[in-house]
Amino acid sequence: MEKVIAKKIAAKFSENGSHNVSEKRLEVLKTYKIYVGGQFPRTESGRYYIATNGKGDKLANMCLCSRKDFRDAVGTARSAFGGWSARAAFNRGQILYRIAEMLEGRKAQFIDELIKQDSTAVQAEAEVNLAIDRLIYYSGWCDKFQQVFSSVNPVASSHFNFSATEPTGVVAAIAPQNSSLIGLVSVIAPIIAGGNSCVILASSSKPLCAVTFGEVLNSSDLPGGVVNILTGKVGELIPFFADHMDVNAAVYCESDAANKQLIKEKSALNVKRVVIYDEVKWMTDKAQSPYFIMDFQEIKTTWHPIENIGGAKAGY
Amino acid sequence: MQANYFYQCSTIKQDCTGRNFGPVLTIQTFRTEDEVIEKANNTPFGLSAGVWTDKGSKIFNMTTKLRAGVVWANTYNKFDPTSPFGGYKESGYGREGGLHGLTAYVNIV
Amino acid sequence: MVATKTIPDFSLSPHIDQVGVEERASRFTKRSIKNETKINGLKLALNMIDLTTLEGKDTDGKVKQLCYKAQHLHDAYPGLPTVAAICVYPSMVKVAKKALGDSGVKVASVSTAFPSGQAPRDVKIRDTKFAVSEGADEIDMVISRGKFHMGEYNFVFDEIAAVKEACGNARLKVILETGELGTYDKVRRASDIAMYAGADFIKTSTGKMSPAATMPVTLVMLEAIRDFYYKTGKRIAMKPAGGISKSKLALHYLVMLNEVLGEEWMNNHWFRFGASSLANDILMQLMKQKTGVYQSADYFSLD
Repeated sequence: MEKVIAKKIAAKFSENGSHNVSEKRLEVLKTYKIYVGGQFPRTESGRYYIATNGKGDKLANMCLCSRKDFRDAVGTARSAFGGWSARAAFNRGQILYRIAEMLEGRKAQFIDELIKQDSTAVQAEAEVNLAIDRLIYYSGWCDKFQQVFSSVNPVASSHFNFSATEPTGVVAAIAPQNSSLIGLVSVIAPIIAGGNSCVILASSSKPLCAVTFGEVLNSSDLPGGVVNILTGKVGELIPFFADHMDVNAAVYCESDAANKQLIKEKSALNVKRVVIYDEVKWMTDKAQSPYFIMDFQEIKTTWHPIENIGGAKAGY
Repeated sequence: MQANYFYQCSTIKQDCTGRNFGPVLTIQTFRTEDEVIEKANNTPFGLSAGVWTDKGSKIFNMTTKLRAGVVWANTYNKFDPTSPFGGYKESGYGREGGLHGLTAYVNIV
Repeated sequence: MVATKTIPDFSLSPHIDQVGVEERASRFTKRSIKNETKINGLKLALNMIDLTTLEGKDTDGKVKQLCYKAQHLHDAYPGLPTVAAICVYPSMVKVAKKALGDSGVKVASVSTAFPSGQAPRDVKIRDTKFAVSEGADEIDMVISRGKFHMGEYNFVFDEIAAVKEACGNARLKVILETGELGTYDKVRRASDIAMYAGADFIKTSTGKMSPAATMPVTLVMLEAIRDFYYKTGKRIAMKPAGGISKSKLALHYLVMLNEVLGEEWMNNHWFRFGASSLANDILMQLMKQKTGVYQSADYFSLD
């Protein structure tokens, strides 16, 4: 009996040679959620906004994150900081390389999303290629910038005195608003290459790639919580990015004077490191250098005594 | 001002964190190295720290984990024009002295 | 208000519907609380904390430090209450007592071969008497869970009664270690045994194992306290311990307390939180309310 039914179904599916899936099937659309702590929750607020293209066509519902989402994300970034900063620099490099590999494998999806958000096919491919290359670039710097920016200092006393780089901590960043992917990647990569963790607010008008990039990060051995991606409105969240006392550095990538002022003023509350990238052209080579890593590094100087036997001064 | 010391007060007590520019010493005890690092970092400031031990490997274990801009081993308050000075967290940003002190004066293109 | 002389048959303690009690407990988490009430609730919760250090590596220094914290929760926030008590091992009672002076913060001591309770009765009695003689205001004892599982309820009952006698004027908290009891039925039964045997408090857990306090377990115990009160007119205090580290959760417990036992119980004579990290989380919430900005752990002393 079962066999007969199975045969009937098989026959039905092979009408006209093969079953035509695309005409009858309802496409499964992705629910764009946020990326926090290695998971994809919705905003705690339950709110959303509609992402559109330049013509005003609806692309997707996006989470409209609240200050509480930001607070929770900072909490997970803080928890993740210790482990991530303690990883061997080489291992961080391997993981950044892995992110690039995963992005390469999902290139078509990103190109598709960029085209939906008003890029031409040529622009879209160039942007995804550059994002991959940028990750590779910072992957390489992970275990090298320390050597370039550290020093052994020739002090007069009998001490071995050296200055070395250390990550600042939790970085809260507002991603470049006019690009969907390359801006986001160019801001995240140097932050995590240097051993920091971060919370980043995606472009409000072009948010699709940010969420999909979260999926790339999630399959790249990057520990959960090192990068947390929120979607929502800059105007609503910017005060909290600047005044949260457990954030060590704030990044802003636009030229809006009022927002720059607000970030600087509120950051003074706990002496956050304020980093403003208002004139960076993210699609050029000027948008990558080890100095971007150094924006989120502290310098620690250690004095270690050197034993002095027989009167001959020892030192470096 | 008379010399004072506070024994076993909390790390966040004003006397511990409030930058007294006077002869005030606050003392706390600890049991393990993890605990002393946790306590030393339990502050919004991070200008400098000191470690006393005769074991070299322990010095470096401590100095890598203390969140402070300058760490002195078996000494304190030593300065040198070639040695960068400056803090973490609320103790300010930027460094003075040494190669890193120069970065503020350099326009890198 | 006369305590009953009849000791009930504990095998007849009410049975608990697991699904029902868990659903009921989860509903207490859905109440909306106004800001001002929230601040008052947080301060009340602070005042109910038994700040605890129970480690093999406890030293005089560590205990003194914790006693300092108990009296100076956060100097940057004037007008805060102190915690209710410091909870230590018997060997640390004297140190704590001296460090707390006349601050009003009580000293609680675990005893009776805490946390396992696997020792002969005379050892447990001596342990208790020692802690009391060193100055403990409160004794946190553990029940013999092994005997309880073997059905030897009389043994458990007699032991609690004997420890109560050894306590003298000190208030007795009886730790059921609900994580080792397994079912709500057994939690209810153990609660009844403890209350009839003379407990001043019933307490969920030692904090040495997981699961420790949960809302449903606490609900079962609160209902046991309510039933006992109706039967005997005697009020018993409650102490959930272990696993309560967030302010929000503490507020949920207070909502539950208020709705099950009422306002009479809403103070640190009748309710405590056994916790060590809860205090700082509450302080961070209070400072958030006061300053309007989210806080960092760097601004709050560990102990």
